Amino acid sequence: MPELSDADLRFVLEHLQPPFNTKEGYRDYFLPKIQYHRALCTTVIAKVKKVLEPLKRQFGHRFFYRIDDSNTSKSLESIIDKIRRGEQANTKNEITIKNFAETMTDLARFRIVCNFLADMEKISQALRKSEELNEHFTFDVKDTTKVRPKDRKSGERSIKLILGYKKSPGLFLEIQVMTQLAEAWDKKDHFLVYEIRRRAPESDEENFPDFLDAKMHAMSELLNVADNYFDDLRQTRENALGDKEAS
Amino acid sequence: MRLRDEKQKTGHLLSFTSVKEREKGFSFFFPVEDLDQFDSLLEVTNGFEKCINEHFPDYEFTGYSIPDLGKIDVDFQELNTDRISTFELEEFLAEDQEFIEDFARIVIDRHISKPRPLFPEIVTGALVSGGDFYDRKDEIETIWNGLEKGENFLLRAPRRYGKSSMLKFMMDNPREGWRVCYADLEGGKSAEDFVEYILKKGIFLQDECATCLPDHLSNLDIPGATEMKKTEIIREERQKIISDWQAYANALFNSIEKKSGENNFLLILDEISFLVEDMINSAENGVEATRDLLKWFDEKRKIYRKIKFIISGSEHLPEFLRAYGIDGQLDNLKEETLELFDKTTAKEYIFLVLAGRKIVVRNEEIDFLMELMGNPIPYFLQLLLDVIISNCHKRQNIDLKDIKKIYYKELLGPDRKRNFESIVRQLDRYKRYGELSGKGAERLLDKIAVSKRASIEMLKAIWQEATGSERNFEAMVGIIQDDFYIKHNTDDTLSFNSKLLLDWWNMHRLSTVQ
Repeated sequence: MPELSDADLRFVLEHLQPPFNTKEGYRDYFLPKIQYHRALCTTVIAKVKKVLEPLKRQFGHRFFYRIDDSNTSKSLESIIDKIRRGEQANTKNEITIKNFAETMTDLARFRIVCNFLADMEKISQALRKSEELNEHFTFDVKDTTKVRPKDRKSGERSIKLILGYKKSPGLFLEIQVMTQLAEAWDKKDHFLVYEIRRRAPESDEENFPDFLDAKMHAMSELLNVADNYFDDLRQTRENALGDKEAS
Repeated sequence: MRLRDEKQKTGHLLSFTSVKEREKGFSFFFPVEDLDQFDSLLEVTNGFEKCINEHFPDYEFTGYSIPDLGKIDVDFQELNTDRISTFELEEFLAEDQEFIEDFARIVIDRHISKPRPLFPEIVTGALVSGGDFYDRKDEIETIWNGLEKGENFLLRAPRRYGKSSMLKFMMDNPREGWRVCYADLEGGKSAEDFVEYILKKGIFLQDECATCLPDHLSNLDIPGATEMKKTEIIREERQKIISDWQAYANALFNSIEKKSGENNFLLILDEISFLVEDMINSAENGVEATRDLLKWFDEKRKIYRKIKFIISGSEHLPEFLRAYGIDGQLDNLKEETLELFDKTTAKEYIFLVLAGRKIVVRNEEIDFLMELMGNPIPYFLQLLLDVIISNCHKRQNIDLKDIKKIYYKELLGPDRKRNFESIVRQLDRYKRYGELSGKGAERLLDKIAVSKRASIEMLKAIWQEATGSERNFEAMVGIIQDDFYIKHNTDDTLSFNSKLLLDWWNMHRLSTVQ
């Protein structure tokens, strides 16, 4: 299992009460608190599959979407790191070691990986309009496919649906909808840039003297161009097929 | 109760990892279909976590959301995907949705100890072994501890309580420093048979024990001999035994004692009750011969330091012997009685057997099964589960009404008659106590069945009327207590201790007595 950075370990040792304030014991403080999120994640995946079943049938002739389960819960290391950075930033921090389970909205998440850009929209709409999901959840949407260059901090392009479980206020789950190309970029960026930047956000000059971060940003743009082109091709093809059927 | 839906591939995986040896990890997969299972999933997840923390501190626990179990090999390469068992959430939740920790503990325990098979299977009639053998840990521990202190044991229990299976388990899983030989004495009718069976049905069948035989036999490489050769050797040895069984047995035991070296030698003599009953009844001087054998054996047990004995017989062996004036020959044996499974153990067993056959059973259904059959006599419990499993596999889904119907119409019905034949056969065996003894026993059982509790006094009168005398009444009462699970109550009455057998007797035997 991944280890905490020295700074994060010092942070938990200082901020947790016994018996959790040890290298061996901190997990026992955090893990039970995220059990809820994991259980919620599983049941929402089951529900989402049902909601998307009609779309899947409609587009059964081609790849439409898949659910990526490789990161369904935020790692302990990321959770602790996020809390520590928040607390040390000396701002009015909303996420603390005490309330993190109710305030972090991405403790549980999963990703829906689509084929085309248009599929992202179809899936996102289907989920947002689902009566059953709306009965149980509040929805908050963050769409990073439509961010202007001046506001863009990262190359990530996805539609994030943040679901709040009505029955248990403070219990959130994040569904990330993105294309295969955006996912491919994200998986590379996570290793090459994101993790390094997360640990030392102020040290881009030292960590990326070769401008790796800028190159990754450019790759995201490139793949987005590709995604748009693919979507045009899909549209052209479908229009042609539609005309043929009509005639 | 219903067949588990194993087509559902979306669900929650609870993964258990050994802190010390990661390859010992295993996982349980719970299919999840919809949001309304959130509370159940949370209860089960929290329950397993608590169970791991309290009972299995060497294990860590992680939960994963699984969109497609079929692709788990690709997505979760760190998991031991060969050791995933599927359960449904319902299997670990009581009617009030409370987590059933006993079931969680027992499935985790079995996944850690890895018996073969992982879930016990139904073995009606035959000896159960390996992973099919269930529980009895405390009894086995007590006996081994006693043996190591130098004690010999008399293991008593009614028929089909699992004595022989437990003894075989001890033979297959000896404590360090022990060689174990198991011999079944059923069929023997004399002291000569007693000695011959130890040889023929015991030491000759267990290679590691054959080295302790007297030189003239140990030099023959008996483990490597053909069956024909072994039969020839036995025939020759039988002649020697017949000429002087005591001298032969002395030489045999002396050799075992001498050749055991650093090890101890445990000789398990099973079904001694049958041998004793047959000895008493097969010859005119049967009682004297039995007394002589037991007296000699009593003396021998005091002599040997390395050879220890477990003698196994029916619950009422001492009373039976006393009825023939044979007293005190078993007194220096430490007594160990095999009791029925307690309610918790029986429930765990039912849960495990059904889980192993992919059947989801609710807690109230387990309670209903136990209520139907009464005391969980292992043999009858297996019969009941067998018929329930075959129905569930045939129909996919059965409810309490179906279970009741299956119990009365199928298990106790004509199609399953063969399962009770061995019990009815005992009535023929009783003829050895006089031509009318079988009928007398049947009349006793009838009376007990009708009255629910019948006084000894009344039963004695019935016996006298049926057989023409009071002779053998006490012995017969002892025997039917073992064979028909009859309980001697404190108010000096007898009653059926097995509801299932009482139901069966009422349905099939009551009207047949002339």
